[in-house]
Amino acid sequence: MGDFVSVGILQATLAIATPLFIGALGGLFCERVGVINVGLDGIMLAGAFVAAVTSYFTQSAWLGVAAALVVGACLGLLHAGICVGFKADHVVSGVAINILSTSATVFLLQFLFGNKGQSPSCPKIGSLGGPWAEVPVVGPILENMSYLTIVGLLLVVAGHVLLYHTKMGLRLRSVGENPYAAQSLGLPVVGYMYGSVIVGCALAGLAGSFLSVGMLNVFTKNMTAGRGFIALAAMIFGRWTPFGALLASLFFGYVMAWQINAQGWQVPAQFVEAIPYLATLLVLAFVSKRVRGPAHAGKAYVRSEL
Amino acid sequence: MKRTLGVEVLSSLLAVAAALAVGAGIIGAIGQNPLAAYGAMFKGAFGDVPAWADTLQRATPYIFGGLGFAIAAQAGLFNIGLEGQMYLGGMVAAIIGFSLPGLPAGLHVAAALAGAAAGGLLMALIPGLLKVRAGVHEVISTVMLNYVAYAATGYLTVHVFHEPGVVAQTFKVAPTAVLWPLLPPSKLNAGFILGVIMAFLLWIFLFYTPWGYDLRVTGLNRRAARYAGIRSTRVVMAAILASGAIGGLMGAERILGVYQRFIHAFSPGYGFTAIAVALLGQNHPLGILPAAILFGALEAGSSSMSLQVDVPRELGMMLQAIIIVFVAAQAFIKNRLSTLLKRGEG
Repeated sequence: MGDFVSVGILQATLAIATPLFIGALGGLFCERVGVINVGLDGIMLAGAFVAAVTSYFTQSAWLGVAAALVVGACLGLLHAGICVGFKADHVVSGVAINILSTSATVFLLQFLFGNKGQSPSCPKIGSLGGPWAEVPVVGPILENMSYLTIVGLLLVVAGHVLLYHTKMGLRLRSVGENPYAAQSLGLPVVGYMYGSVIVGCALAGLAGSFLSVGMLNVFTKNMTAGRGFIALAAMIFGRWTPFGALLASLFFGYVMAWQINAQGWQVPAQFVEAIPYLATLLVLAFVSKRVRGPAHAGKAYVRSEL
Repeated sequence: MKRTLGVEVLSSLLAVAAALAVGAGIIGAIGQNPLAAYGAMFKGAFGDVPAWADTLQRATPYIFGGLGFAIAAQAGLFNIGLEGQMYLGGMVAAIIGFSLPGLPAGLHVAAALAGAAAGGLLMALIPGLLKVRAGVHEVISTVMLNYVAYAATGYLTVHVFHEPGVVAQTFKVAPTAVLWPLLPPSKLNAGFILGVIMAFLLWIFLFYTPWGYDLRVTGLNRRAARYAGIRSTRVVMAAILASGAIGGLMGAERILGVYQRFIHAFSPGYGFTAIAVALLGQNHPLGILPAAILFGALEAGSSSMSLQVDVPRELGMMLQAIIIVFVAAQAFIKNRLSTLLKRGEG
């Protein structure tokens, strides 16, 4: 009881961290072009719902994942439309998306399955399993690692390469820092904003699909339980970089995995439940002064006439 | 000045109308008659006195929450932590409510309300300090604290003040601490009137006092406010504390007026929906009143609608969200409206 390092805890850490670092990657693709995304949690919820429903009706979990990407992209188009197109407040749009997802998923659960609590069980994404179990030390961890976790890790690497080793990434980052300078260089600023927000929100949908068809095989009401907000915190803690977000997510994942493990202690469960959130606050209190997000995040971009 | 107010009201009404149109499409898509559904909804919200009482009862937490969000928003802050401030405030109100029997009724209620406000204020002190001292964005810190407040009140409910039984709830508050019912058997209580009075007080404060002016200037442009000699850090702190205190009162109204005890996880998300109410009301105290009543009506109406027409009651909540999507797009609508009005004049 209460071990700090065990195979079980490391497996759980990776599983809990997966939706966090994929979601955080999605969040940073939005913020890198200057669009704050408080709606991450709602988009993840919508992704989780659509993945489970698609997986149930098509009997293919991977089609479910694809559907989650599409729904995330659609909500990204909505968010970008409100924030970039209509130049409205980013937090307002995010809050609207959260409320919309919470209510729409329950509405559709009731309409499709006559049950407000959860969907019927559906096929889930497999894990590596088999021969990998033989590998020493990391074997037991690899064995239970979901294919989606591997996809997520590859996306983190791809995200890093895109942002820091391509011309497109440089331009994308410049849009979030100073869109007017980017515009003066002849970049299609609005196009970069829409594109990056849509990709980022599609990733948030993917992160949600891990909850319903990766970790479990069912959608339950409000199953994100605030993970989108924690992903947002991981993004900030990770200084708006893919690898930073990954490390921050692994940290949060570890704290939560340890917390689940610690529930066997004599400490009341509620204290232990609060630990990940208190840890996040504590960490943010110490790092916030030193980290700085994209300079133009949250501000409206009005194309200036040349 | 008059005309901009007209534009604001008109654009809010347009957002509501557009959302109702989208809602009609959704009702049609699931194979029901939108007119029949909306008819049932309207009757359930405003059809008779009990329907009105239900609507106003459901609107009450949104009045408090909307005002709480608005005062922070006027200072340029997003308090997403109303839910946690409400839980802590509600818990303090319950504790004062059941642990001090024998107090005169008016005094007991006042003490419980004051305690609740203090509880919400304390909950807001943390994100306030984190923002001012460490630069932590309040959206993140208040969200994290929601979970902490949920866990903390859960602990108090289950382990400290637990009334024996299967339900996770505390002891009942003394009759002297109950907020007076207005239209029994409905749950509408004096908290509604308190909310309306607060809206007017806040309106006077924000728009007719120097402190309110400082607060709004800080919200519009913190740097400019500093140059104008406004101590903006202090204003930001005061605004977030006031916001939290009102969040605490939101909890007190539910606990003292409706449940008469603290029930674990009693909120279906009042604190979050209240944000939507504040936005619809344009963060104006007097705009929040009709916005809150509309949201209460959507809930009361869709509840009774789902009994008569086969449309899930979550439609009401979806309409609330769609309204906000349109409100969010309002900058655009507002611009168009102003241009149209100008063209009409010219």
